Amino acid sequence: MNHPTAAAIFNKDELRTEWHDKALWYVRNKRDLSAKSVPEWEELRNLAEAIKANVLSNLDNYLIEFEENAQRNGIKVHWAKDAAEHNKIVHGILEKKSVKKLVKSKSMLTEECHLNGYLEEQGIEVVDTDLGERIVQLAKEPPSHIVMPAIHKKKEDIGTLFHEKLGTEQGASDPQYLTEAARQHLRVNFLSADASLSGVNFAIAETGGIVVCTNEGNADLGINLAPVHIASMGIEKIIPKAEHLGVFLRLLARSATGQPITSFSSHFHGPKPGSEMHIVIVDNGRTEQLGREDFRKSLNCIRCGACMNTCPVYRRSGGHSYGYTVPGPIGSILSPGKDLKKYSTLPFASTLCGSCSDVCPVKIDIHTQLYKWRQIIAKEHQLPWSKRQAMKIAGYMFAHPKLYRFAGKAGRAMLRMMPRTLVYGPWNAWGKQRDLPEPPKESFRDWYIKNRKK
Amino acid sequence: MSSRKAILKAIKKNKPELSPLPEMQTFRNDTVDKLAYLKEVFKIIGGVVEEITDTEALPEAIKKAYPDKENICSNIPGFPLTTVDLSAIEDPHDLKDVDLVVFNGKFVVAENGAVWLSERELIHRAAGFITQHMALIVNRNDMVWNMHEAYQKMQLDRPGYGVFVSGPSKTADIEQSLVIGAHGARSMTLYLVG
Repeated sequence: MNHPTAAAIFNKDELRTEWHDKALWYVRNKRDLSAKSVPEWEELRNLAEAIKANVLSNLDNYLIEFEENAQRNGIKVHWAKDAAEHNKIVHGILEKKSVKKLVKSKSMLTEECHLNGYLEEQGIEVVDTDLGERIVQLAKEPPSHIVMPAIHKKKEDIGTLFHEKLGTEQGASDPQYLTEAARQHLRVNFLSADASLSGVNFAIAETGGIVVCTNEGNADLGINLAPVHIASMGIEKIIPKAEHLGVFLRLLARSATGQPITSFSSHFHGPKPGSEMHIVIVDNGRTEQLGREDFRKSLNCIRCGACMNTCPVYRRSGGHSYGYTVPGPIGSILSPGKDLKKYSTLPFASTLCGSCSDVCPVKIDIHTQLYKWRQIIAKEHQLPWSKRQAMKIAGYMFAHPKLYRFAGKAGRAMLRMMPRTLVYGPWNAWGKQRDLPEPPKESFRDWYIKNRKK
Repeated sequence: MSSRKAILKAIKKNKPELSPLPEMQTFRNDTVDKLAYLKEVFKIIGGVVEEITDTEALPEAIKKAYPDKENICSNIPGFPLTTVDLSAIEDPHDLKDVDLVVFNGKFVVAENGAVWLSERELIHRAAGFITQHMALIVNRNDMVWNMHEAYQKMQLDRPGYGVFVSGPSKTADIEQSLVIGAHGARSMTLYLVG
């Protein structure tokens, strides 16, 4: 299903759309307050952007340096060219240790690789331990947001789900009560897991260690108890030195939720005594994206989700409408590189207002890239017929000033005279949820000739 | 070709021209009242700050704040409230009934309330997460302003582990309602001593 179709379904429930919009705008506001409390915010963004530019320009050497130092710390390093190889490597490690139950903390990469389903097919129980992730896992849904996976669900939905799956009281929907129930349920799993898997927020080339950020403490509870830890990372997670964490940890949580830092920022430089630690370095299309000059900067992303929270389209269409692991503006510039045809509507899921680029802590030119993808999609004939015709007509009209003037005049007159049912028919996409503005009495050109051109 | 080789080769082919690393800055702030700022931050992160000038009074203060806790661990040698000896425990799973940990932390960051604990302080990496409550002790002189200073000050043990703890475990995954005590500590008190 393409984005407009899925978004139209989401929009059918007006109250819920309204609620979703407001929930995310609330987070966006918190981000603003937090960013404004740091006088050097813009300088931090510039630093982050420059560090990432350096990383991308020297990525092969940093990865080699990282591998060497990680191995020195007693970490086993694996390389996977795609999702299938990643999943196979993870399963291989688990199989060797006869793992029956794996506890996971949030990792968008494993979502991208569809690891859970793969492992379950091999008979391994996979328990997502981030509360939001656990909610969508129990509901058999993908996350709808990269930081708040269950943001599309109301507490009453979660109450019903937990009643069914965890035996909470029927009708109970108090977040405190539901969180406590999840805590008890997941504690049992933490204590009985044979292995843990986490994502990676940052991998430090100079020290050969990784940093994982959570608010719940679920990554550490899993990793620090189980005898095996696997960390899955995309190649772009590298930063050169530990001191660069100062920049990124100041930006990440403030951009994501408005917190000054996550509750826990854990630095893993080797397994705990008597345990194993593995890192799987994954490409899965990233080196290709690196080769696209106009789009490589999307690899700067530190997955804060700020572009989603601010996006008027995301807020009113929901994460699931994108149909890609990473939804929202950043997902819409990452996904066409993976499958141009399948994701051809995503770069159009934007007003090009540029708010995403403004809030991005690593200064990805998101709205410019959206625009560039549109051009590629049009050239590759991936535009729907209606849009192609509309563009052709508009192009012809803009090239013929007299026709343009006539059309303007006719349009203004007709809007004033025609009955509402004729103006707001199914052909008027703009008018679906809103009224057209009052047509002006004259065009700007007419006004200009009258008032200025003397 | 191995995947490692293939990935590195593809990067080499596709990467842009070398872009220099920027010079790092520390954004020092000598005029800010760090303590006052820290206290405000703790309200946001859901923790409590207590100032204690007399270290001797610490056990009494902790006992008062956390009455009726049975299983208490600490990294302070001879700490009078200790009931579970962390170093005597081999399997971290045996820490599952710990009610309270009392840890000396290395230092605290004023801008975000983060306390640095390395593996040496934690003794067991899991101890700081499996516990129901957490009391951290930091000397008031061991306070830096921001994360840049923090990374200058600290040493990352290799191999090893370390964590910045900023307040108790929390979540807002259900309708953006903040709930304290997701999986880890349900409360966090920072005792500033000296």
